[in-house]
Amino acid sequence: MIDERNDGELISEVLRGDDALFEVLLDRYLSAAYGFAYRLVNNKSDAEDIVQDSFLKAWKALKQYNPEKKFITWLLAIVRNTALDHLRKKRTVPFSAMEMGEDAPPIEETLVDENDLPDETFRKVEDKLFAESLLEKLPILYREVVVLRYQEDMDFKEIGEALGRPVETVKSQHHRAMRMLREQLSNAPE
Amino acid sequence: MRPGYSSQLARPTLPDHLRGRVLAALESHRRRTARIHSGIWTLLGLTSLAVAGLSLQSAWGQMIQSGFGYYFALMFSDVGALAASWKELLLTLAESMPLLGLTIFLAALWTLLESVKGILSNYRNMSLPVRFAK
Repeated sequence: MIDERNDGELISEVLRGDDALFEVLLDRYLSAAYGFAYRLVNNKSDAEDIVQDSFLKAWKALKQYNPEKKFITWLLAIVRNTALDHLRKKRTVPFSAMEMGEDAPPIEETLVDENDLPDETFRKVEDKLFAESLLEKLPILYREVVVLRYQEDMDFKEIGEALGRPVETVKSQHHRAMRMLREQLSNAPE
Repeated sequence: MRPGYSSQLARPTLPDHLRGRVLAALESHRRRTARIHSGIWTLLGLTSLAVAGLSLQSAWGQMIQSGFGYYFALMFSDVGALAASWKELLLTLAESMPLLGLTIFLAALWTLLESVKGILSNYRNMSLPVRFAK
C-alpha cells in the first residue's frame, strides 16, 4: 500500500517512535540513492555498501534534518559524502579533485554562458552505454552535477543544496561538464 | 526526464537484495543500540538502587538522632500543644528533618524509576519481532 503522507510528516512520525515508517522513505528514495552512488563510484558492490551506510547515517541523523529542505537533497548529500569517503579510502580519487575549484580556474567557475544549450549536445547520443561511458570519463566534481541534473531531474537550486555549493557554481560546473562531454563526443569515432 | 542526454541516462537497475540488506542493517543497528542503552540503564538503575538504600538508611538515622520522629508524633498525640504553638512545631520539624539525606533518596528513587522505564523500553526494542519488514 502506498503511503501518501509527505516526507516531513513521515519523518515526524519516525522521530516520535514509529521506526517502521522509515521503510516508506527507503522505498521512495532507495533507487535514487543507489543510482547516484553507482554513478559516483562506477561499481555495483561499492554502490550497495555506500547506500547501506548512507541510509544508516540518515537514520541516525534524522533529528538534524531540516524540514524546510527536500529530504532527497539531504539524503543525496549524505550519499555523496559517504561515496567520497569511500573513494578516499580506496585512494581512487585524490582528495583535491573532490574539493571545489581545485581543478578549474576560479573565474571560469563563476561564468555561465546562457546562450549555450547543453542539452543539444547530446541529441546525437543514442546509445545508452555510450552515454554512460562518456559520463564515467568526467571528473567526479562535474559528474555529480550531470547525474543529479539529468538522472535525478533536479533543478540547479536542488543540486546546490545536495552538493553544498552556490547555485551559480553549480550552473558553471554544469556548463563546463557539458563542454567536456561535447569534446568527448566530437572526438569519439563515428 | 530532460530531453537529450537524460533519455540516455536512466537510473541503473536496483539490485533485488539491496532493500532487504539496508533494512537488515537498520534492524541490526536498532537492536545493538537498544542493547547498549539497556546496559547503561541497568548500570544506572543498580547504582541508583544502592544510593537510594544508603541515603534512606542515613536519613532514617538522622531522623532518629535529630528527634524528628518525636516532634512528628507530638503533632498527633497532643492537639492542644499543636494548636497553641503550631508555628514553632513546624519550624522544629523542618529543622530536624534530614533534608540532604531525603533529597538524595528522592533523586535516587526518581533515577531508579527512570532506569526501569528505560530498561523496559529498550527490552521491548530488543525482544519484539523485527520492526522493519524483511
